[in-house]
Amino acid sequence: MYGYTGKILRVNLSERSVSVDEPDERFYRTYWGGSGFIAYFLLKEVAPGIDPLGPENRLIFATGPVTGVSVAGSGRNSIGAKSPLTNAFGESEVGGYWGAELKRAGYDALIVEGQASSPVYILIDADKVSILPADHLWGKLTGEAQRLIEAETGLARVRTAMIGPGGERLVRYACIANDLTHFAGRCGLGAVMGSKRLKAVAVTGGRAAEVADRQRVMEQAKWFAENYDKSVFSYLVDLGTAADIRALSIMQGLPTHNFQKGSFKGTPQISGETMRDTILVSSHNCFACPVSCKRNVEVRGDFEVNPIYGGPEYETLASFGSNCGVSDLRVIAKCNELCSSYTLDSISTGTVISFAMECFEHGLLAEEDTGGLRLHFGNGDAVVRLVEMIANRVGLGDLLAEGVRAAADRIGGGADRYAMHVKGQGIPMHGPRLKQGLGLGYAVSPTGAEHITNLHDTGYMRPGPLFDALHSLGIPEPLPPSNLAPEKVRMYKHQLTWRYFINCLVMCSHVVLTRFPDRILEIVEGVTGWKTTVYEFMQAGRRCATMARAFNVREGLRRKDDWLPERFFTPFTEGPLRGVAIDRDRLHSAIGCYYGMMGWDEQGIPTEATLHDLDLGWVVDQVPR
Amino acid sequence: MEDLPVRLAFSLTVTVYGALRRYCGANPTRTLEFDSPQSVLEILRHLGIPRDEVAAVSVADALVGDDFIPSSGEQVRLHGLVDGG
Repeated sequence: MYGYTGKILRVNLSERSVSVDEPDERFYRTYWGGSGFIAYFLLKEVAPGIDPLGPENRLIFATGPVTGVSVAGSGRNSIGAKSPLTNAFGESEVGGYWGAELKRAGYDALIVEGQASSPVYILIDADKVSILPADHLWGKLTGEAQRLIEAETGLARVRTAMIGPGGERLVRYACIANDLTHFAGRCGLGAVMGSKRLKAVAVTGGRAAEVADRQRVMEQAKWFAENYDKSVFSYLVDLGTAADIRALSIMQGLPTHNFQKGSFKGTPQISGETMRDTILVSSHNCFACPVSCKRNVEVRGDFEVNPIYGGPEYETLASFGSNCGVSDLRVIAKCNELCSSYTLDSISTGTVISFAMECFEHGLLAEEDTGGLRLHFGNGDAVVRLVEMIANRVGLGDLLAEGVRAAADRIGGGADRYAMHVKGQGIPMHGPRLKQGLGLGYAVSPTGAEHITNLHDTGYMRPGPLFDALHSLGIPEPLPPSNLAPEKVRMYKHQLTWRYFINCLVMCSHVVLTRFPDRILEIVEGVTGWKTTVYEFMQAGRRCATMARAFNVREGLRRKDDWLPERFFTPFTEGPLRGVAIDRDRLHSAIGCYYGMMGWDEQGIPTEATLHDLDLGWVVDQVPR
Repeated sequence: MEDLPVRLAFSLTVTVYGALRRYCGANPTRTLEFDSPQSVLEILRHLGIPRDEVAAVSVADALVGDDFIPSSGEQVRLHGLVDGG
């Protein structure tokens, strides 16, 4: 078998034991990797109703067939567990080098079971797997812990997936950092890692991934190397993901003041250009990728920021910037550094702080609740202080560390009106009144509001290179962002299905290669040696989405959980989208239409026929009806 | 008789963003000079940027339409289709 090592590593922290599964080729060709592996193992091994922060949960690190192959976008890995933030399917992807290194160490995935009695870290050094004490690392920021692991292992190229104190303190939206600057941000997977008392997984390996037809793969790698700077994503080289912030503000899709507005006057001050011209010191890349879209920033004086923790991405700029009313780039850079070093998801952290700000402005929180912080929109000092309070679970920070949904429940008095989440997951930084197909995606996503495995309508409203890729998947024409009719649902469903497959490969959606099904077909056939088709890819994507749905159905989630915050049904009162809101009836119809297209019933429960169609007969008895 | 330099009457600064960056090489900002006022659509045509690939055009941080004619000296920002994610 090419493209895979054929080995899945299991580490049980309760028993301090290590074992290896060797699944057959049928398993690999059905579930492919990444999201597919995670959905499979969560359904198979995590019983319904368990405490996500208990020893019964699994923490799964998964690669795909292309991981570790020298083609851009192949350095990523997925991480999954039952989420402590949503009590539902939890999964997130992360870049860097760790995924490629795990594959080079000889494993397609790592499943962590149980709970250690005291802090540990796992060291995977090719065939040798050790569970080592980490008492001396516990409580350390990630940069210091990384330095200590490098020193004590003596390994020149050890890669780490790690949590900081935020994960240790079980902040329900704690993330996991690969090599300090890449994050599996969403779903609170860092808290699951913290609950297992697992500080880090350090990996080193030297075996190159075996592929069936290297020449075929290298042709695609060469095409990308020669064309990425001429592609629709060429701006990533210069500005990273921050490039689009001005456009979103102009079009009124930039979350501002806790999603009350869609445009921010301070946008120029927090733009990618301003970052490049002021605090940017360097950029860096992921395994085998020439783009270098990742930023490193440095600030001296007030809000001192260490460049080893990278720099803010678009989501971070908006969540701590426009959505908190902050136009001081140094403040955002400091919040980014704190989130990185403590391992907090910057989207969720910014969202819960903007929620607290709106509660403060409406008198639901007072200075005695905030420890004296005047939480008005725009108060950058207060935002920085509150990030620290959340990370250390101090004062109001302890409440906000439980997530925006739980915090709103505790504050009461109508605070839920200001809690911008779906299924407990804070809304990402793309306004759904502008991108209404994305709003549908926020509502129905199994992980709660999420923006990667989703449709960004504004990329597909006119013909062009982005639309051409969807056209080849059977979407006949571009559609306006405000459309929520069945043809938009079909566009969303096709995009979602494709992106789920890309998540099974665990490739990067910012690498333009992954937008072209014909190029991915070349890569997958070249790597695996399997004769396959785009149809098989789409079936795999739909299978993955359906398994995630089945997991949530088993946890008791139904149609009522697939809905958006009330704010998005209220029209903007000014700007180019004046009078525009999401229409409740249209969203309701779109959700039903999506269920139908996916082969799920009116409650969103996958039908028995659908499960058999997707080779998921073993799931039939697990799904209550 | 000595030739006098031609002074063009209409000058604009144009900056392109996002997916449109691939139309402008290394420098996303350039100054354009015309002998008469030009609409947004004419500016796009001059730059060789297909209208379909432009998501939004802004002047002074306000959205403007295809027929809008900027004043001389203004900065025009052209934003490409925004994919996100």
